[in-house]
Amino acid sequence: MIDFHPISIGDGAPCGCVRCGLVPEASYAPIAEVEARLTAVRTAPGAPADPGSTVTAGGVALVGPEPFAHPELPALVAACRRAGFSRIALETDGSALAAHGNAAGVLHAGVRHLWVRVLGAENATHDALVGRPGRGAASRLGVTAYLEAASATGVTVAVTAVVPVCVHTLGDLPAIVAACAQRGFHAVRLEAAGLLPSQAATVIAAACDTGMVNRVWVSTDGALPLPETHRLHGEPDGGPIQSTSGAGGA
Amino acid sequence: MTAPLKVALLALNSPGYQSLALGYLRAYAQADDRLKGRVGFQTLDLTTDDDPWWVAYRIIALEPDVLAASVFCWSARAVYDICRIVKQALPDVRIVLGGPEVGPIAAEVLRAHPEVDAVVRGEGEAAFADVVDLARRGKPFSRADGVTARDATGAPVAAPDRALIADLDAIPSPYLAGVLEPREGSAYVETFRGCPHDCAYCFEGKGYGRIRSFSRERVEAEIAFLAGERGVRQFSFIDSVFNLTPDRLRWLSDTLAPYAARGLVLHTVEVDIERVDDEAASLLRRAGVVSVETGPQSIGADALATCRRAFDADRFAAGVAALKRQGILVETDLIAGLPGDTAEDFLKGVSFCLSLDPGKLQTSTLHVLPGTDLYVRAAELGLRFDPEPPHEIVATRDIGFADLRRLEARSVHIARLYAARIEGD
Repeated sequence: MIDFHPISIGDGAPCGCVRCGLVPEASYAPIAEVEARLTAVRTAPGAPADPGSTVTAGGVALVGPEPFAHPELPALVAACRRAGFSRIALETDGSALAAHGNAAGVLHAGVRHLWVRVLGAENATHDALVGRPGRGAASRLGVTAYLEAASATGVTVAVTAVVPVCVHTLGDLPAIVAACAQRGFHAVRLEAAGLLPSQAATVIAAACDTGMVNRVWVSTDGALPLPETHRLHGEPDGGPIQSTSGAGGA
Repeated sequence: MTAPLKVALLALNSPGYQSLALGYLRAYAQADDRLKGRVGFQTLDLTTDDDPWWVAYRIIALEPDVLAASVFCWSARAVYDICRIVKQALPDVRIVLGGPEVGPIAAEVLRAHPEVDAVVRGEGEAAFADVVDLARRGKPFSRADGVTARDATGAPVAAPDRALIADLDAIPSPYLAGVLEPREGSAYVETFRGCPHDCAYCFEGKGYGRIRSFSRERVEAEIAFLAGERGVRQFSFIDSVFNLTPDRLRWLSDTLAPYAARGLVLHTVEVDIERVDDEAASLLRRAGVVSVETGPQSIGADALATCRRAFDADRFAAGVAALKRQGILVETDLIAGLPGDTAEDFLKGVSFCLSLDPGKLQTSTLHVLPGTDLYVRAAELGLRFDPEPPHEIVATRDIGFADLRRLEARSVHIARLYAARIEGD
C-alpha cells in the first residue's frame, strides 16, 4: 500500500547470488541523470503536484548497485528531498553502514527506509552466496548501527530485509527470517530470483509462519508460489512500484 | 481515640499515563463529612510495567485496611495477581475493585477471585465513599448501592444500582483539591461524561444514559489553575468527543486560546471528524490542538451496521483535509476483527486512511470488553475471544485466527512504513 518509485542510480545490484550467475559489475549514473529520473517521476501523468500530499507518490527508492559506493550519495539523497519526497529508501547490502558515521549520516540526510539484501541466516552462508567474505558480519553491524542511530534520535525508520529467493536460498528461508527478526528488521520481503522446485510454496509458507511467531512481517512478490492459506503475505507493502513511467530504467 | 482507617488506592496505567479516576475517588471521599479525619488515603499511581510482586510489597508495607483498585482490561491480570498476594500477606485487608473491566461482570469477578471482597459497578465516586464509610464502621459492603459484595457464605450479593451523580460539580477537582499533581507538565481534563454514540464495541458512556457536563465555571477554573498557576503545557482531554457541539467547541476554544497562545498544546483529542469543517478546524487549532484521534474503525458496511456506526467517506475525507489545512495531525484508527468485516474489508480501510495522508495510522485488534454489546452478543455474532482480560478477539465468522494475527502484523508494518518519513520539510 505504501510503495516506492524505484530510481536507478546505475547498473548492477548491491549483491546477489553468485551461484545463480555472475553479478554484473557496478556502474554509476551521474547525478544529473538521477535527477532527471526523479523529475520524470514527479511529472509523470497522474502524479500529484505535491509528492508529499499522497502516500503512494511519497516514496522513492534508490536502487541498482551499492549506493554507498556511489561517489555522490549525499547529493543523491539531497536531490530526493529537493524533489519533495518524504520517504526515501536505499537498497544496500548493509555492510557500508558499519563504517564510522555512515549510519547516522544517512539517517540525518533523510533516509528512513533501508532495503537490506540478505542471502543467508548465518554470516558464512551469506558470504558464500554473495561471494564476498566478511559481508554478512559487516551487514549485521551496519543494520544495528542504523537502528541505534534512529533510536537515539527518536526517528521512526523501517528496515526491510530483501531476500532473493533462488534454489540456493530457498531451504534457508525460515532460518533467514528468524535471523532477521533477531537482528531487529521490521519486515522481510521475499523476491523471486530464479526457477524454483515444486515444493517451494511449502518452504515459503514456512518462512511466512516463522515471521509470524518471531513478530516480523514477511511478504512475497507476485512471482513466488504461495498457498491460498497465506494469501495475505502475497501483497507486498513498502516495495518498488511495479509499473513506473520508465524513470527507474538505467 | 480510634485510629484512622487506612485506604490504599491503586491503579496500573499504561506507561506515561496517570489515573484521573483515582484522583476523583480520593477527592470525592476526602470531601465526605463522614470520612473527614477518620480515613487516611495513600495513592499508588503505577504502571503496567511495574512488577506485581514489587507493587504488592509496597502495598503490604502500608498495611492498609482497605485496598481499592481501578481495573481496566490492560491492567486486570496484574491487579488480580497483586490482590492475591496482598490478601495472603494481610488476610484482614478488604479489597474493593472498580472500573470498566470488573463493574459489568461484578459477580463473575467475585466468584473467580476469592481475594476480592467487593466490586463497584458503574460510576465509582459516591459508591466508593459509601464503601469506605462502611469499612470504617465494620459493616458489610453490600449495603452500598451500586456495589456487589459477598454475603455471609461468601456468595456474591448485588445491592441495587446507584443513581448517577446528577451534578458532576459535586465531584471536587482532584487538581484543585490537591490530590492529583500534573506530571511532567501534563494534565487530564474532563468536561463531560457519556458519549453521543453507541458503538457496539466500546464501553464509553455505557450505563450513563445521557451526557452530563461539569459546569463551565468548574472547567474554566481547573484549566486556569493548571495552565496558569501550575504551568501545565499539555492537556489530555478525555472527553469522548471534543467537538460535541459547535457551541461547546467555541467555548473551549475561547477558554483555551489564551493559554495556547503561550504554548499550551492538546494532543490526540477525540473528534467527530465528519463534523469538522474549516471553521471547526480553526477553532481546534486556536484551542492549541496539535493532533486529533478519530475513526473510522472500519469502512465495511456490515461491520458499521453491526457496530451502529455511521461513516461517510466524503465527509470523513473533508474533515481530515480541513484539519490538515490547520496543521493538525490526524490519527485514524482501525479495528481488525469487527463482526462482519472480512480481511479485505480491513485492508480497504487501511488503504482508505492512507489515501487521505492523515499523519498517523493506528490499528488494533478487537477487544471484546465486558459491558459492551459485542460482549453480550458474542455468541450470536460468532465472535470468539479470550475470556481472560484483555479479551482479545481470537476469530470471527469471517476471519480465522491466523489471518487475524496476519492482519495485526501487516497493519503494524504498514503503519511503520507510513510513519517512517521526513517530518517538517
